[in-house]
Amino acid sequence: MTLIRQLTENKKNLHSIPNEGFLIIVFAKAISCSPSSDGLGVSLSYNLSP
Amino acid sequence: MKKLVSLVLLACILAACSSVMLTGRKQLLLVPDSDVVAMSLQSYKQFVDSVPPSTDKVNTALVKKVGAKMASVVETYMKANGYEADIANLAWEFNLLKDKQVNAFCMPGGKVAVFDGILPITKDETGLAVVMGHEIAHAIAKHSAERMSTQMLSQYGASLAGLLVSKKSEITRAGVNTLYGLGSQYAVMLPYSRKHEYEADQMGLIFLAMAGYDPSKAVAFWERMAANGANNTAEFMSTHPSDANRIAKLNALMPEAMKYYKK
Ligand SMILES: [Zn+2]
Repeated sequence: MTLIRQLTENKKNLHSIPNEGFLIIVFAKAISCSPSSDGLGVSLSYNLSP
Repeated sequence: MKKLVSLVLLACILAACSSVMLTGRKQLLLVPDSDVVAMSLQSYKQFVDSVPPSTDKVNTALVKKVGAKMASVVETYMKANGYEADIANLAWEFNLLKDKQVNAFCMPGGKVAVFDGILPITKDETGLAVVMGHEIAHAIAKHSAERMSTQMLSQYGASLAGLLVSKKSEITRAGVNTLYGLGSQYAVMLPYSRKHEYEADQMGLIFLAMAGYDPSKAVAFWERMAANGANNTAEFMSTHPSDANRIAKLNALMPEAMKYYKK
């Protein structure tokens, strides 16, 4: 959630970017797919062999 | 496209681009390593609790001994080279687990697990140190946080592609989404993953030398892995480099690693 907070705090920087709402939605979506919900198959571990 | 460029710029402003220890490669971390480590601690514990520990007392002790030795030289190097702040995110752990797999893994924070099925291939303390050096390198290089960041950007790309065709028919939209998915898998995520593997080999080789193990023994270890034949997927389709490419790169890096090796 850190990123969302950073985005909100840095809202001024966002004004140069069109469609900021869209960006925030995309970010929120990306963050909700963090490894704790393994829907994306994002794994934290690095195996020695595939 | 303009939006994607803006996003990358924005990301660089929000999360400073950092550089990887020893290799100097610039990486983009949208997720702080400390957040990733927090998630890792729980997952690692769950995993280790679900697999029985190895009954091999001698090698269990050896895994812990080699791990502690490598961790100590790595931390010393970090302190001396401006990476001291990252040490707070390390909570080293080295476990030997009872499983036939010829494998080992590392999670953020330096949480290493070695399966005892790999012991016939590691053979001795140096072989084990090759595995350990490689695994530790993934944690030190914050590869998990970087992978997560790339995945986030890749998701953004998918959403953008979806948006561009949102006025087109359902079928076109489905097609674009599938193609984008495949494209990002073969063109972005897999080469990306291999880049991390090569980087872990490079850093691991140096850690090996720093800890007083002969780095040239790493080549012999990967030759034994190749002979074992677990890694037969064509490289472009795999998360990992082919054994032959890996060995060639290790040989090329040997003169550099030798500088860290005190006989
Ligand atoms: Zn690896």
